[in-house]
Amino acid sequence: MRQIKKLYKKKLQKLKEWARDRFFGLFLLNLVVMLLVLLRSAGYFDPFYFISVNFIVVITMVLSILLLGVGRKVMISLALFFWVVALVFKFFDIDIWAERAGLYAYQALILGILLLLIESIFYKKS
Amino acid sequence: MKFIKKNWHYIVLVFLSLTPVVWFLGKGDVIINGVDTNFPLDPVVWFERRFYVWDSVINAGRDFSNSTAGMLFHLIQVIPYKLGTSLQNTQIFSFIFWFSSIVLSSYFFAKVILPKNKTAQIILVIIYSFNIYLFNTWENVKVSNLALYVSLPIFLAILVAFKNKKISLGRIIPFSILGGLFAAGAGLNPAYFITIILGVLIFWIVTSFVSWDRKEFLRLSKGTFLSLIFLFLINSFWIFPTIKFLFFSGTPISNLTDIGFTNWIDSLSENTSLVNVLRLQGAWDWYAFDELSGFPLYLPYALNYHYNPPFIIFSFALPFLALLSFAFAKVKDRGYIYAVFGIFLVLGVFLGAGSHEPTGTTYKFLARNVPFFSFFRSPWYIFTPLVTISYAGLAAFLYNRLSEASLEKYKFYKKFNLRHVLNLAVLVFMAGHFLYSYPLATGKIFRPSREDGFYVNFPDYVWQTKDNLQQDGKNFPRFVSYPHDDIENFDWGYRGIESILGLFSDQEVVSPSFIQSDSGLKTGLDQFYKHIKRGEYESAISMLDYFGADTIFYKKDTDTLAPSIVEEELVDVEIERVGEWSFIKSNDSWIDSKFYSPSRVYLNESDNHALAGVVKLLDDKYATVDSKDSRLGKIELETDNFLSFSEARNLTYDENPAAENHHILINVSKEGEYYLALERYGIQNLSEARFSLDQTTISDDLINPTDSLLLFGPLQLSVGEHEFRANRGEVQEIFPYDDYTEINVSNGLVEEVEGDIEELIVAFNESDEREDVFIPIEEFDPYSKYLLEFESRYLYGTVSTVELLQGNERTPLRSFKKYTGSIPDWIERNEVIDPVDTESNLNFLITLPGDDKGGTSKSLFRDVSLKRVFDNRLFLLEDGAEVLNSPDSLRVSKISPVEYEVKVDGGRNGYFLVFLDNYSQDWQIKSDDILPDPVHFMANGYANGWYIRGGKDEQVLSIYYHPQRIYHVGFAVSLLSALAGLFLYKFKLSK
Repeated sequence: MRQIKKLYKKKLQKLKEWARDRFFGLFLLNLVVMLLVLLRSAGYFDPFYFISVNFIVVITMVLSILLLGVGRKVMISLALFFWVVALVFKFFDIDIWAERAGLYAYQALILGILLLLIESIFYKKS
Repeated sequence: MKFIKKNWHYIVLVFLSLTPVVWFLGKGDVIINGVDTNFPLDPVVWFERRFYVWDSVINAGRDFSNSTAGMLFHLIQVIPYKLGTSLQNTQIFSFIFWFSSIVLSSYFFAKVILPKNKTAQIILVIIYSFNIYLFNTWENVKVSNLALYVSLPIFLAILVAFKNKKISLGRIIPFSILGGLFAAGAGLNPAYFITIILGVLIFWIVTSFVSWDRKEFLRLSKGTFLSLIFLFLINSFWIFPTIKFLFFSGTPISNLTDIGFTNWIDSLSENTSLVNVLRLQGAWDWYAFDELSGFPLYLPYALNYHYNPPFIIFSFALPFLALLSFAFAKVKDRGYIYAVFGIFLVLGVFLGAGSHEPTGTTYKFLARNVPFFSFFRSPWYIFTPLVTISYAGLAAFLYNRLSEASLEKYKFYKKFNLRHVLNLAVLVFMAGHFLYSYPLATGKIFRPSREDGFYVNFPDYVWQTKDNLQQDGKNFPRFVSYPHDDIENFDWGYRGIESILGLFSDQEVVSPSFIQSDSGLKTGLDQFYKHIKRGEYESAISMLDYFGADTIFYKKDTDTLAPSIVEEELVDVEIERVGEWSFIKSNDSWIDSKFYSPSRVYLNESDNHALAGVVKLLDDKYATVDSKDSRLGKIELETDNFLSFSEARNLTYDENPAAENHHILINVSKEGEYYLALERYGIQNLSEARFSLDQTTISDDLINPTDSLLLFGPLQLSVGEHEFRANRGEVQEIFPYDDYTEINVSNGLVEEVEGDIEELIVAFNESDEREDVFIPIEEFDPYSKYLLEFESRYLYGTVSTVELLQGNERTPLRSFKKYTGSIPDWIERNEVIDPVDTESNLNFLITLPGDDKGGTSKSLFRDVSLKRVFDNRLFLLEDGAEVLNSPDSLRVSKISPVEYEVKVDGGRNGYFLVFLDNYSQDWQIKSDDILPDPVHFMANGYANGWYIRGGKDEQVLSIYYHPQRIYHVGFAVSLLSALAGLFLYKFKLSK
């Protein structure tokens, strides 16, 4: 138990440091996401442009790369997470949500592959 | 034991390659055949066809340019067959060849990308060779799929090996020649061939980007383009003529519909959601279920994949491993190959989803705007190999990464003995993978227990027919096939999309086909079948000459809705019966060769649709030409040399199609003697009918009835409009009631009738379930159109519908539904119905849905009527003596499907020549004995016609399908490039 507490404290400290380093990025990301959610609930650009949940998710993923420096491993992990969520929904025959989770997994995969490309290119150059 | 330990992976490869043997275990003397599978019952016949770019066997011939690509595929069948093995063993040999090719090509790829890890290599091979994508490929033994699937890893392996400097530039050549040979079959559907090129180009672009180095880029570019050049050169034998056909055939082709194919992308993309495509479950037939029973229509095993929990979980496993592999990827040395797999995966999924949203909008945009993109009409089937090779490679990389020695440094790795855990996990996963792919491993993909299975035991009379046709040696005149179903569905299990005779002979056959453009041949065929179904046998048989046929190939062993032919009613025919098949040969046919010189040429002033109606009236050795064909202007003949025919216009039909008296307008462009031909169906009692021309009754002695036409004439007609009136006598009412009391009483509605019980039908419903008023129509004739008329009035509650329901004992056929609307006044309604022309019954229904809120509903109907409409066509046909010169004799020799020699005797003066294969501007006539520039045009609505201006009295004409020369050039290029490539490798580049 003590070990778990110790590990928890250690990780929390790391997380705090990580958040402190990216304070502005986190602030901006939250601001944009909140703004998008508000605009969506107000139907702001309708009928010229419909802000869908999918749009918000994609923007969040892209901004997390730009503002928080999320790398390939995190993005692929996100794809894995969505893929497991898709499995759970599919298992319980909730097809529409499974499709939606599958779409997020695919989008995260695309971003992950892009990051992998960039990583491979820069690794070589470095 | 030592041997096994050292060579265990080879043993696995051998066992995997022998999988097709399992498919035949315990099945007896069967052949896997049917629908797209098309295993020839005489492989030599099929192999020989692949040497010609014109196939004259089906429906008067078609361009066969890209089908020559199947030459090597059929060679694999011919070799064991010629060595005397049975057909079944020939098929097993062919299957093992292709299965082992997949196994070995993926092993080659695995060995190149993971040279030191045998387990990882085997993981790649198993996932690539055994997966659910391959179910459809093997079920139909799709040549183009197999070719793509074998050659893709070969080309990738070549490039990886070259990039890693394991092979020299020169060594690329022999490997590319090998890969190119395997890729040849993809030419049957060039979209698959393009996918191979796409894979190679992706590799080149991604690898160049990721490991950018100018020198390396140039080196890799050389290697890539050398391999592509040899891929192209080796396949020149089908690429050259196919390019000629697509780009230079006279008719611009940029879409599928231009070559008579159906664009089915939307229906095929109905279930290609991203989740399904990622799980390799995008085949359309997995989602076809019977609406009533809920069971799969085609694939019983699909139930497991949809509803069985372990299968659902496992379906997510491969993408999961691929993602995990990306997460664990070590970009140091292998970044480029991960990136290639990544792009393959992303692009393969995007393209494989086809027109399914959310990515479908982009796909549809590409299909609309990029020329030839619509040729990717089966996107999931075409692009998924990019996904499977990624999954296989990524899973192998994951294992390799997790088993790397560098991980041993972690304490927990040793503590928990993770290497053994990993190996055990691999074993469990592979066992699961085999179980998950059980239909492929066991042969269940061929649906052994179902009526529509692919295991076929051909009955004796099929083999007897094969012997008869081969003994006969002739393959012309043609046969016309009946029944007329697009798919021949035999009681004994075989289903084919083309005539079964084509499986073992070159006998030319005319039959319905999915791939048939809207030509005179198709219209004529529709008319022919209409005659047979209506029992107008004399007319049907007289049409045979039009197709270049003298025999009806009548199959009594098919599952069909078409009515039987009553053979006893046929006259002037010889019938040869072979088992369940009858060959009904006309004794009256004049067709003995594909070539003849007509003595009468008719100018068709209507369209091919009209032509089919009068074919039986045209004299022997006639020809018809389209009056709008501008090429006729080049013929130096007077208009009087041509006869004319046209279709008249019924002016009454639009106002009242069921009227007794019809006013038909005839337009005459040339003064002369004419016959008028009126379709007879529905006018059985001639004594009641009256016909007049320009208000003068046509006397009975000028009326000559046949079984399908009434012929009036000869009549002298001047130029201008003439009025034909047809009074067909009293039109029979087939709605069985004019007093509706019985309907109201039998439906318990008497108390609801407000007004005259005899004149009103009451639809009344006070329950929450629907109520039907059901009236069978006794005197229904499915070969006629009908006019349905009634008046309806809505009173309250739910809205009623009136429906005519056509069906037979087995199945509903067609429903004609009319919503009556919620208008409280009496409204007149009418509609012409066109039933499915098959023996069936018709029922009249008034349906009133229940009101689930507890209310009552009521509607009224009166004056219900159902009468046969008069849509019989009237044709105008000029009469005249023989007006054209024709040679004394023609002697024809067939040299090959693309070349005929015609010896003409008495050809000094200009004459017409008709060749009864489908029109193509590429059929050319060559001779030194004729005056230059013969005029080439379409004759008889589908065939080739020439006007030869004359020349020597005795002429020798060579009729040649010109693209065959391009095929010869392509074949020479393929052969020479293979030889030159090997020479270069041996003596120059390898140094």
